[in-house]
Amino acid sequence: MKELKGLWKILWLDIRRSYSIFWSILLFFVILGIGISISFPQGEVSWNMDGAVLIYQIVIGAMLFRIAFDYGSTFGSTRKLMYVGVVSFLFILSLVSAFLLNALYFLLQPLLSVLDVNMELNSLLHMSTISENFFGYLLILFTIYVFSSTVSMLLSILKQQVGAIALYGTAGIFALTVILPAVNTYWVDLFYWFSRAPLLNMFLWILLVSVVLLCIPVPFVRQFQIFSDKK
Amino acid sequence: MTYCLKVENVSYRHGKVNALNNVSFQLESGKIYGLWGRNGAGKTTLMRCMTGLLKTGSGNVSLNGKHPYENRDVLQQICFIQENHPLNTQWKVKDAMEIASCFYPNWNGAKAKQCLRAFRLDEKIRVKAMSKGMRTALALTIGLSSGAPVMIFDEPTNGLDAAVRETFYELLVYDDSFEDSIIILSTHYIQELQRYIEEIIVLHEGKLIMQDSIEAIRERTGYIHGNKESRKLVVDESAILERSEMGPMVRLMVEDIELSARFDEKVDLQDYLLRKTDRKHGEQKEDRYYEGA
Repeated sequence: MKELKGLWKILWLDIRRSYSIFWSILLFFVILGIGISISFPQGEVSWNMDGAVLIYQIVIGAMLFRIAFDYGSTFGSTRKLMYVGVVSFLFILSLVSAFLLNALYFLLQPLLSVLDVNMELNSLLHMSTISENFFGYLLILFTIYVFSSTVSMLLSILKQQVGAIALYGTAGIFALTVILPAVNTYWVDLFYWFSRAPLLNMFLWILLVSVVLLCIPVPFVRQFQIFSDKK
Repeated sequence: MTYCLKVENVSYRHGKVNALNNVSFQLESGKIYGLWGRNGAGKTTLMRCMTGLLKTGSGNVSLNGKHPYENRDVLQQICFIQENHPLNTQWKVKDAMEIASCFYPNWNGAKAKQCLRAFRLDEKIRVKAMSKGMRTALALTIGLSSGAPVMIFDEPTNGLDAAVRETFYELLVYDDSFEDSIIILSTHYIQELQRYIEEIIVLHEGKLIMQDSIEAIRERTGYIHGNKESRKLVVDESAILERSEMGPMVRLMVEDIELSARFDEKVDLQDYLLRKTDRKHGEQKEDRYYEGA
């Protein structure tokens, strides 16, 4: 457990600065939006925060593996422990991000009503049937952030361990699934499911898919190259 | 507790290049070992295999019979401080100490404070604000304070000024807690280290060519001076490592314990190792043979 804490500290110290900058910028834009809507009451300001957090989680997910392996290995950590450290950190970070975003969202809603400004806070979850409540949004956003950072982390592993060609190949296959009419209907079905699925169903499915994805590298973790040049 | 680090028939390839070729040796507690080799000799690869960072192509590495690769029980007994040791620029000195203490169960906080004082490192300073020498000093502090029974330092004094190098040697040598440790110091420049190391391991082109005590090397090597015609210079060709001539005078660098009575001068360890790993050495000897014939 102490080693896991060490790994979390390594990861947190690396992203702490960017994390606080990101939330500061997000908060700044919200305040700017409020300011604009007060200054120009005839117009409407529409602002989406969870999309921004989603992009940030994707970027951070792509960095975690490299950070853990670069520094964890120098303290004699095993590959398996480093992977466990990255995955557990990814879950914690997703939960914290979802919590912060929700706290901001549900604090701003009454504030905007009190200020009586023409500003709307949008959420990706408005596209779903999930009712707007703190706990429900927290659960779904948490799983969405876990899923998005999982995918970006796996792609970063693929690039580091197998090479850029494998990454481009994967991106190409994904692009084909979007382009080819024979398979792209599945994406439409997926979006349709997202817009209709009940809370628990959506939460469990996204979490299950994320866990399955995170299990894919497990058989190979012990063989991971720490030095990308294989030297 | 005593420790025994065994390297048995270890080979490793970087693609088509044979980085290590059937390397075997054994290291024991209570000694400081020097690991010497020219560029590309395989020192770093060997150290990485010994610390589980690389998986050996063939052969075994074991500490008290247990393999280090992906074995946390063994890895927490080994502290490997690499050349240009990776330290996050966002870390403060204090952060690096805290992180290291999580990974080494025998972490010695008092020793860490002593090292930081000796190296004049402020706990609040960030890595990004440090010079190369200060970063090396921080990495050395981690190594010295790890409490790991096996400490491996790759080029530990690179980028350090003479005073800091001396401080490092003092912190390493005059500490009773290292009595049962295995300490390995890898270096290109053996001159300064030879005072502190007891045994030297020499790698050349991926092969182990020597593991011997510094004392034994000193005893069996020397220079013999004399006139070309002098009978004093009649020695077995295989014992000659270097021959230099100036007019009628000849100076031979020889390696043979039986000739020790004839030595006029001691051989510099660095020169000896260079001649031992000289690729042209064999060719030169052949040339001399033909000249003689």
